[in-house]
Amino acid sequence: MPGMDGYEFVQAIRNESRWPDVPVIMLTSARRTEDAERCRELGIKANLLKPAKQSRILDAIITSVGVDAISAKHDAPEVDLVSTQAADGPLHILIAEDNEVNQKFALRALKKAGHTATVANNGLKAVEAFANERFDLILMDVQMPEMDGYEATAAIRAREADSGTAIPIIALTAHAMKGDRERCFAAGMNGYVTKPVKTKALLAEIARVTAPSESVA
Amino acid sequence: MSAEPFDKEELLEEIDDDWEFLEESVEMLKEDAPGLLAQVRAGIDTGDADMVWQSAHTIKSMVGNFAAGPAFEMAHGIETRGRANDLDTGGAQVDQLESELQRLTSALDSLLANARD
Repeated sequence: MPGMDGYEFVQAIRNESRWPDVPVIMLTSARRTEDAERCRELGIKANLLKPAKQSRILDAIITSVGVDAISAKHDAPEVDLVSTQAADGPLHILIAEDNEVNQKFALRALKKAGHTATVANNGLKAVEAFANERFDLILMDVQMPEMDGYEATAAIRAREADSGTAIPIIALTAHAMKGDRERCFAAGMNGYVTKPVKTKALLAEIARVTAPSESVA
Repeated sequence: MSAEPFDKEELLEEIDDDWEFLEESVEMLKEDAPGLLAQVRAGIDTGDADMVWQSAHTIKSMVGNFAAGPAFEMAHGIETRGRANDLDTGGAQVDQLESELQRLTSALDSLLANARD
């Protein structure tokens, strides 16, 4: 990563009295021989090769938070981890995404789960579609021409200000910049899925943000 | 470049035997890639770093759907340099990405051809 690499970042966290033991999972595009030792020194629980599969990430998280993976799977039905069912049946979803291949993959994933969708090719069109059509949820690409996902989210949240409603917005991002996730949440999004979008990960995130306990957040 | 152009297992898991869908998607990739590569090149030639990284970013997210690790990483490299306004070595990287995209689409075509047999 530019500016400060992952190891430096973890070192900085370890020096912070607030989070000396926070579990850290590294993602790397090329594993070098010295990596294992540095990970041990810094107390990094796992070092995953990118693109990391959802199942590997999940395993790494379960292991790193100290839950025995086998007992966790035994106690909690697997459907909780990779739920592909929406909270209240089929949803009508707005896909804000400029690339047609990405649109095609996202549409397919949603249709498989029984959802319907409308596609907007940029942020401006997404805001327009939101004004003219009723949706249950928005998938928002962050990087788009005309108006990006952050601006479109801000415009949609501004429109909602009077109505007291807040449509769930899930960011779709190819994870290019440090702090992407924080920026998405700060911009008013509720969920976050990294590209390439995997059907299971997308549907699990949709289930999470539409779960009853999340709908008021 | 010894790595496979795409992770077959991962792609097939996502595609779930929907070969028609894959074929259409590969056609789109073949249609879109040359224009995006041309935009990256134009950005490098004119010193337009935004055009470079935005086009590289689109290529990256597009090839990611096909579990195409090497092309994804190459596009990511160009995007990262473009964001840092570093366009000096960009031309050679785009040539590399272009041949990797050709290798990727040929491999995807072979996969589709085998599936039809």
